[in-house]
Amino acid sequence: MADWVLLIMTFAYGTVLCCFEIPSMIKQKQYRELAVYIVLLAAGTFFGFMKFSGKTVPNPSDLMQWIFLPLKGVIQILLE
Amino acid sequence: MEKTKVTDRQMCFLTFGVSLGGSVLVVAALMASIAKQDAWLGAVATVVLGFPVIWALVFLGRRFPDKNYIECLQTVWGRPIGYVVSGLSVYLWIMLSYHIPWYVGNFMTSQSMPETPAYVINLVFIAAVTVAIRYGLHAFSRASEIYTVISASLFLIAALLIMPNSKIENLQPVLENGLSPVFESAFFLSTFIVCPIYTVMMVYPTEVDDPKAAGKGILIGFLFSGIISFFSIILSILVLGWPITANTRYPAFRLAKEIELGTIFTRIEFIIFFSWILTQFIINTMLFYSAVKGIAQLFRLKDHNKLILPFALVDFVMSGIVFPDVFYQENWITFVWAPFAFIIGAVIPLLTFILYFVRGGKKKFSNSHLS
Repeated sequence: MADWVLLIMTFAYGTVLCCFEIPSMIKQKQYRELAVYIVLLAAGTFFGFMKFSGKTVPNPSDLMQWIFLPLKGVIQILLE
Repeated sequence: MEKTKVTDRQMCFLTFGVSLGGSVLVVAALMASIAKQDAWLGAVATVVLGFPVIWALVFLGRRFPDKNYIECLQTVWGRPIGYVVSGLSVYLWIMLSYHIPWYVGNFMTSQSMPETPAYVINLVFIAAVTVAIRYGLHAFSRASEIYTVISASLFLIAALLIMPNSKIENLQPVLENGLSPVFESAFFLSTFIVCPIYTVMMVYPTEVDDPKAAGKGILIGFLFSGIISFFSIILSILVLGWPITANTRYPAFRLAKEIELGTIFTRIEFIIFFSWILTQFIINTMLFYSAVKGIAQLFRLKDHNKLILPFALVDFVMSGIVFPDVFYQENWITFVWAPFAFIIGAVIPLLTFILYFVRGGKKKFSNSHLS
């Protein structure tokens, strides 16, 4: 499947979720839920847009690798 | 409507799935590269050393019968530190819940369907997981009963069929390099089969029917998955020898390729794959559920069901981003996953256990509410 199909699918999924779920949450005054919901959806759409339109994506695994860099020596000892 | 509860047998099978999840197919290679022919002793050591961690978790669950793991951490650690500790625990669930689809996609594209893009396989897998979560915890814990039985019996069939090919010389000499490589390999195996078990603590005290029996179920499930890992490692070494095991990406799958009975039973390695993908499904469902519920708990939301669909999108997109290639993944697993999972899955439960007693034990926490 070409990337543009996945790109369209990502946006379509995001739009459908916005249309169906957000009005009911506003009606029930669940503002905390709404905030977390929008953050998750925005994160998914953002990463999807970056990945499927061929840009370089910030990878959370790289961040973790950087955090655990000081422990690399300890693990190296275990491996030998 | 009467609220259904998770039974002790379902708890045992969920623990089995979570614990076996990522490891059974891949971990034998890492173990064999460290401990060589003694890797099977590492599996025994893991079960023995992992037992206190699981017992500490069950103990905490028994002492806080109305709190799940996140609330329990926040109560024991107090306000600011509790948020950091429980936030890190939730982050591990979020992270692992998009690692598993990557493994499934990578396995399928490298072993059986090279033409298909990995994203399509991930999409199908995540869609199945999302539907399972939408049906609710009780539906998928009942499903896990069926899956575990199928998965374990397929594995046992494969193990029995491969048994005649084993060569005892592959295990000799025993303990050639002393005990230290055994414990080093046990450290890596424990990050796969012991550390993710804290995931079931999202279900254990609050959603179960009989906490005492379910606690036993968790211990039995862990023992059971330890036995399966032990068999998968010892058979890999017996049949393939440690050099081949250490250099194969999926040793258990490679092992099943050796099955040859007459001319009829050949090329049945996909029974191992089928058994593996069922446990992957259980672990991913549990991780997804715990991640969503953990996020809801951290932000004090009433309804975690609302977050399932947007989280599925995050999962799907990230499943293709996490690891650019296999080399990156192997490096990452050794140098980042092992220490991170060890801290979150083994050190934090044990520290929580100790802190519980240091801060006053039963007297202080018997009637405490979330501060």
